[in-house]
Amino acid sequence: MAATADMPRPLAPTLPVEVVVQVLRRMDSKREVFGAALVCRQWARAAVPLLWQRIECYTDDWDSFKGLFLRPRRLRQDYRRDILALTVTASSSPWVDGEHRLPNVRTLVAGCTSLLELHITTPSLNDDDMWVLSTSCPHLQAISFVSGVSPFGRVTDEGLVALARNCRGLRRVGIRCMSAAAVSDRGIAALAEQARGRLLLFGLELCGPRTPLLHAEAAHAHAAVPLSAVTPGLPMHAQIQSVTAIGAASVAPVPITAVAAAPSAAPRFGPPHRPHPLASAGASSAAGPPEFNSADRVRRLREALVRLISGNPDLDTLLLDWPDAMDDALAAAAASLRGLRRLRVGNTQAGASLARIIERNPRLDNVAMFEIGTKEMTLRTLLEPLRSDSAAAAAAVLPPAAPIASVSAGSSTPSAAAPEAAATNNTASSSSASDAALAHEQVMQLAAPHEPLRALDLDGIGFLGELIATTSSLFTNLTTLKLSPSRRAASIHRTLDDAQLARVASACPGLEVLHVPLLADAQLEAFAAACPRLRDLDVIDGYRITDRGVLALARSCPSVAWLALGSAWAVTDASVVPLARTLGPRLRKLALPFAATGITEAAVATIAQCCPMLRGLANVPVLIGFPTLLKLLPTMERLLVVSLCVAPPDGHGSPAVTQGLFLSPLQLEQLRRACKRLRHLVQNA
Amino acid sequence: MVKLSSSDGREFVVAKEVACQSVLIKNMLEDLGEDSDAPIPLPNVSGPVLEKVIEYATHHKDDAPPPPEDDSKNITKSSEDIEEWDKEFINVDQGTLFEIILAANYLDMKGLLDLGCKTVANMIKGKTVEEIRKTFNIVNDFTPEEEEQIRKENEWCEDR
Repeated sequence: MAATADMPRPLAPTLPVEVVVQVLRRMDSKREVFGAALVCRQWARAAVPLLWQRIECYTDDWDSFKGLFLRPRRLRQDYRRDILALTVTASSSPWVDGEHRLPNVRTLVAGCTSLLELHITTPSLNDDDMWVLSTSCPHLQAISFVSGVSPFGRVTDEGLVALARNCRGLRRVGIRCMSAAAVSDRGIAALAEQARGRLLLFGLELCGPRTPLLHAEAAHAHAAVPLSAVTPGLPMHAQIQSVTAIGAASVAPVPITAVAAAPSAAPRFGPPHRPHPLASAGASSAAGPPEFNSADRVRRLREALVRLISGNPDLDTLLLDWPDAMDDALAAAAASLRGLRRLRVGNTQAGASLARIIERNPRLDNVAMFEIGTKEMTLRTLLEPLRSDSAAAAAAVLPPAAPIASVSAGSSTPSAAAPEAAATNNTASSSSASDAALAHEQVMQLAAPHEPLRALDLDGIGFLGELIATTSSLFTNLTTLKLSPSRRAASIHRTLDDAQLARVASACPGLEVLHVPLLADAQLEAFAAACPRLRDLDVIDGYRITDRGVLALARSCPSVAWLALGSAWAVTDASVVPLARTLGPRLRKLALPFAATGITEAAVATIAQCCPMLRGLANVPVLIGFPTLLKLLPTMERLLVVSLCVAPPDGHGSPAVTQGLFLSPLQLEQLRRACKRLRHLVQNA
Repeated sequence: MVKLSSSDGREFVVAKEVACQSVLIKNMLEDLGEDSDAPIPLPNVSGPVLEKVIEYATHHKDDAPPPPEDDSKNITKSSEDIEEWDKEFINVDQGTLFEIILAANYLDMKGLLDLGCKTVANMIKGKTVEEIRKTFNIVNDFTPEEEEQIRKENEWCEDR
């Protein structure tokens, strides 16, 4: 048959649909798959379901998404049935713009009968929606949502009960609430009972005004743990655990919020348009009104949480940040969890329980802590078991079947003989690949006391200085490091010691994600020189960074794809132009410094020309003028999010307004229409 | 040793570890029992293609078993990173390439199927719809209305 190649119109054997699917899975982007769908009917059958399998959209997109399904029968086929995972990310914080309503969310989701994963980072589901959703999508395995305060976006116990009863395959449940009053023991108890033994992820978090911004991206990361049935293209911005996800770049979502707001100087701007009394109380450790705080209610919640945690010993991710019952919940976690990979806690004083959780979960490699009180121990003591060299040191001391083996064996099928069995499995290729992988995992779990910590995300006013010292002395394997002054404080300009930061830089040469308040050039230069793999850098406030630091970064870190330059107002074209030229092809998100007058048309033009992959661009100076904006922005075809920056740096009077240096609503609309893909355009003042 | 018989009646004798790279053959051997001497018929694979397949299996006989397939993964598999030997091996005319892929699919050989699919994927990348049709001699069997409908309805998720 191969000889037919010489015939004038060779009749190549056609590939069956399932093989075409295999081929199309190896495309780099949906755009390419879309092209393939238009080739012929056979290819369309393969490509269309792939296009719809994972949908990641923004609240700004909702109308177009909804519009498509207003009359599903008129469609060529009901694509909703192809959707396995749906993620809707808030385009902006509900504390800034009010809650986003997603009209028709119920009917739309009800048609997604194959849905396995649903993540919505804005309050837009209520109890009725939960009932419909849970009965229409019985296969649902993972869900995360935000329960808000308005009637259309508030999930309470009722909704949780529906979810627990109807979705019997549920393994990952992440609940975030804007008010602690939304959820009580009844909902948690229903989950504890109905999902007993199944849960891999559980999250109950009260989110304050800043947390949705910080955590929007983390919602996806819930599912990024391998056990999930549907592994999404790992969001680049997620707290990366796996370094192998680089190929996923082009299908990764842009956490829009991360870019829509101006860096640090701006997200904390302005009071919320709609104050939520309960919610704002929520961010602090204070609880809601008295009736929600009654001792009885707290006791019942405590019991439900403890039951849930101890009934699900396989949990690999635990996210807890609640005004009540934290101590007992963490104690339960310390007593029963051994396979945690990821831990995120806030609002607790239970240092001892935290320490035990850390000690007893050797696979923990992603830790985030917010506002925790560790009065009885230093942060260093708490994190000590995670230190990079502890794995090696302890492995040398402990025999393979360390005492911990029998404890961690609790859940699945391990036995003292597991290591030997696994060893033989590895050489004899008789056992199936998955068995081998499982056995291998067990060996890891039994033999290695602690995997090196890879991601660390800490937040708190008091301990920033201590953090820096701790980090550099304990951890050398970090790929992700995020330290913030505090989510509660507006902006604490704590000056970090250059030498300390330099030690962190040299201790963690593998850093890829760095969100640390870097205030000066020397600090940025230290990281640029020591960490060539930096991919995602946010200098937080960074107001003293100048062209020197930015140039060092452009020279030494070719992988940077996400960059936020904080409020480094002194940065000018002199560094932004070379930066755009050098990093251009890789850059996906760029937040220019807020209100930097030294950045002119030249920089923006270079960015437009050299950064074809750019999805988000923040703080484009309006000073360059509307005609220029209208000329340049539409040439950046992939732009989804743009923020314009109005204010001149020193805010001398209000010349911006008087000279017309802000865009009128009409002009904004004109810009929006000119940029084909643009979904979010804001003007920061 | 295992005997394999291609669609055109050629017989190949190969080491068991080589043959067992194919999950299909491995299962057949288990069903037939160890001592069976009869050749295993592979009616869907021609002699020249089977020869190629055996060449591949021989070269990769010592590879670690592939990680379990994660079908749910969307379009995130990379088509880069093809080993030098593999690249040379798969440098064949399109007819042969497709036949190798079909054989790998039939024989259930993950590594080879992956290599074939990656190669086809690389042939598609960067091409327009018309160029793709031309490359693979595919006849556009859409009506204009149909094509327009697919375009319109799926455009939305192109970038989501």
